[in-house]
Amino acid sequence: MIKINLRPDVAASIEGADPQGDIADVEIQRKGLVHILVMLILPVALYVYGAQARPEKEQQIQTLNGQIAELAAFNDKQVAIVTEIQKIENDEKDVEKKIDAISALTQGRLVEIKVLDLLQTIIRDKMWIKLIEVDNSKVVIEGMAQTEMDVSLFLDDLTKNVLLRDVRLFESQQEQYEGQNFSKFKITAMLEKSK
Amino acid sequence: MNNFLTRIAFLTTKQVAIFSLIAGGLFYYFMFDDGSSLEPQIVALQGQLQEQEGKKLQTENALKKRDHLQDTLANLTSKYESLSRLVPIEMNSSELNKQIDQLRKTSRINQISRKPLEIVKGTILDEWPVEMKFVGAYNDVAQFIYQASTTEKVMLVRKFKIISSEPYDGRLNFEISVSAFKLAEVKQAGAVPLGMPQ
Repeated sequence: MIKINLRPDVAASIEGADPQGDIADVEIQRKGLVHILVMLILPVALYVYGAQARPEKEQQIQTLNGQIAELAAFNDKQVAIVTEIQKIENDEKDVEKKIDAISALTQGRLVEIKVLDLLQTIIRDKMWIKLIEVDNSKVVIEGMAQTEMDVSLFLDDLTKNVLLRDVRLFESQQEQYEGQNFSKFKITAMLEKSK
Repeated sequence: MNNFLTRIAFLTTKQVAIFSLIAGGLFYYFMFDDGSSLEPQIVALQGQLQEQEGKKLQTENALKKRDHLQDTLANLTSKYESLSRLVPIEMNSSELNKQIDQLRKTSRINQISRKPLEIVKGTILDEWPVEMKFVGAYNDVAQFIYQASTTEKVMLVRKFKIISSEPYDGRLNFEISVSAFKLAEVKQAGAVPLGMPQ
């Protein structure tokens, strides 16, 4: 039968060990552990710092990648937009040319008839017109007048009118008509189509 | 182990501090990772982001320009649609002759001749010129020109000549060249419009 005495001094005396020496060993080992812990403080602190700092930067990279991807997707439209702009600009030029072409037709359509009305209004009593020719914008008027004064007044009236420009007496010469002297004249002018 | 701990326990505070620094240094040198290695990548990405921001401004400007151009084009198209009503899409010789007959009847002048000239094909408008000779009084001639100048579908008086008869009997010889127009057929894509026909 085995008998065990739980009293430490008895147990120690049984094993032949010094209890004071055991306590000192434990203290030494504890001190050793404390030293190891102190030695590990700096690496642990560095590890903790690194473990906190790295995810922040990884998150920053992820955010930047997201923003870049979003912007790149938006900017990818640019090529298509530029192509679209070129097409619209071409279409605009095309439409403008069509508008210009039709507008040119409608501009100054009534100038010719206004000039005929004008001639009827300003012609003198003893004066008659033998030829009126309008070729695009060039106007030629030929006629007879009893006096040079009539021709001058007629020319004045034509010059003052806004429908005509560059009005000039091309020629004027005396001619007999039914036994009387008359001034045969030729006047040239340009139609002012914008009026 | 006990032996190791015993040795460590007998280290002086100064020695512990030195070992602590050595351990810290070794850790820092071989194992420390606070994401500094990611810094160049972050800088590169920030560069890319700035580049894309710059492009974004360009894209936004391009979008604004496109919207503005679209508005302008819509206005121009509307204006063109309004103007294009003045010019027929289709025309044939018979219709043109009818139109001229109508003008002649309204103005009561007598026709001597009528000669349709060759059609001038343009990229926007086709021109159908006709030369005519008439006899009539001044007012009738003027009436004809007025009618031709005010037709709903544009007709242009290109040139005319009024010559009094010799001796003058109240009648005038009247030569006129008028042109009717129709919209030119749409050319294939890519064709460049060259303007109205000469």
